[in-house]
Amino acid sequence: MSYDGTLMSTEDFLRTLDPEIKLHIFTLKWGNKYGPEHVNRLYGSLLRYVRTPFSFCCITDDSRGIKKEIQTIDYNQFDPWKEYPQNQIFTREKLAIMDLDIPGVKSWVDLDMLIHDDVTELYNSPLEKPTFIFNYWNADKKMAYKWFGKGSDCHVNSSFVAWRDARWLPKYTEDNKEKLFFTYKSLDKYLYYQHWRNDRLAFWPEGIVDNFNFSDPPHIEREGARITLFNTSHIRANNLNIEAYELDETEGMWPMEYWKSYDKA
Amino acid sequence: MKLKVCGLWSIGKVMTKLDNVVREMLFLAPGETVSIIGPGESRNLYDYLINFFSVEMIDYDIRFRDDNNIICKDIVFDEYEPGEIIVNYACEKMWPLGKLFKNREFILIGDDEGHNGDCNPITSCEQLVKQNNIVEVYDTRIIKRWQGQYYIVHGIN
Repeated sequence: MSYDGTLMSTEDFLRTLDPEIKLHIFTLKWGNKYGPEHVNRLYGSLLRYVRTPFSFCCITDDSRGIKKEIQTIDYNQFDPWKEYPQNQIFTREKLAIMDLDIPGVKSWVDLDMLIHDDVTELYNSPLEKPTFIFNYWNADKKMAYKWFGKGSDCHVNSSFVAWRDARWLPKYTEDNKEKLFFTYKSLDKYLYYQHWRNDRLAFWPEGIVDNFNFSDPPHIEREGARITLFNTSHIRANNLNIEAYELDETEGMWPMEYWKSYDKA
Repeated sequence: MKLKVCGLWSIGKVMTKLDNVVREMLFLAPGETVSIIGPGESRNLYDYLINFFSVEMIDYDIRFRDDNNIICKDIVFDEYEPGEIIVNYACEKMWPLGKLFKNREFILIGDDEGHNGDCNPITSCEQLVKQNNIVEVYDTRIIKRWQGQYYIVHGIN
């Protein structure tokens, strides 16, 4: 199916869904940090590594340059917690995706994730709880939980998530929004301190998701990894002396070869 | 090691200046049950108070899950009813407890150092009074800490 680039309302999007399709994948793009090539290449990687029919939708404030076969929902109508500053529970819009009434498996994938091997079986797994990335590369280290009580730990990452039924999560967020938005700046910390702590989340098996900058040794294509993430924001925020790259900064390295190849997918 | 300390309550471990302030504030407190929120590794105050009150410690740190002396709960988000007197050592890290629990006696302690994980840096005693709807203030103190100050308020809401 081809779309004309018009930003849809959520209601219109739901009306377009093909009932035969049982997997619906979402991503978010707003502001100017990421370009349309991030959306198009992510879609290309999914076409290559998901062996089951799926829909792909980008929630965005600017659909220019995004391929016509990718559906787009209007970001400006999407955030149900607009009364709170965007830097409180940053990327909370992801939770609103969980509230959409869609049967089957749903997923969101961040634009800076590189999928480089088959992920079909991840989507075919039971997904009894919403399933996130656990930062094994940090959590296995000595003292990994030393600062839990100070509120500065976080071993949950929400960059590649799948679920069947997770509507309890946006409901919990809505029911506790005043306290939650006061307490947490990032979605990952909120999930870690309230839902990982209470065993409400599941995680992809160790080794499936790798961290380009933090795994030891860093920057290699690790055997068994199917997805790689490239988070650098906290390295820069804390002036850490670590050689770290975003996905679009890996020119001449193996991630860029995969990433560019998805233009042809 | 146990040492003798001069103070209102005679013998115990050496207490920090902050613990001593709290101890003084609680000296004539009329309540019978005390909940200490966010004690971390510090046990000095607890060890003193158990001679005079029914005392419990509440801390969400997962390191205390197997510690029989600590109720491992998040007092803001998990369901739990604390005692008549609430001593909160970590106001800078949480939603004001005075908004959640009414008709309590509070000793509220927060600092202004703004560490990672501090959602509510405390910069004055007035801030604590206002945030927690303290209607009668018994005492306020400011004492020095590492790179900033502790602000302490004793009162009821």
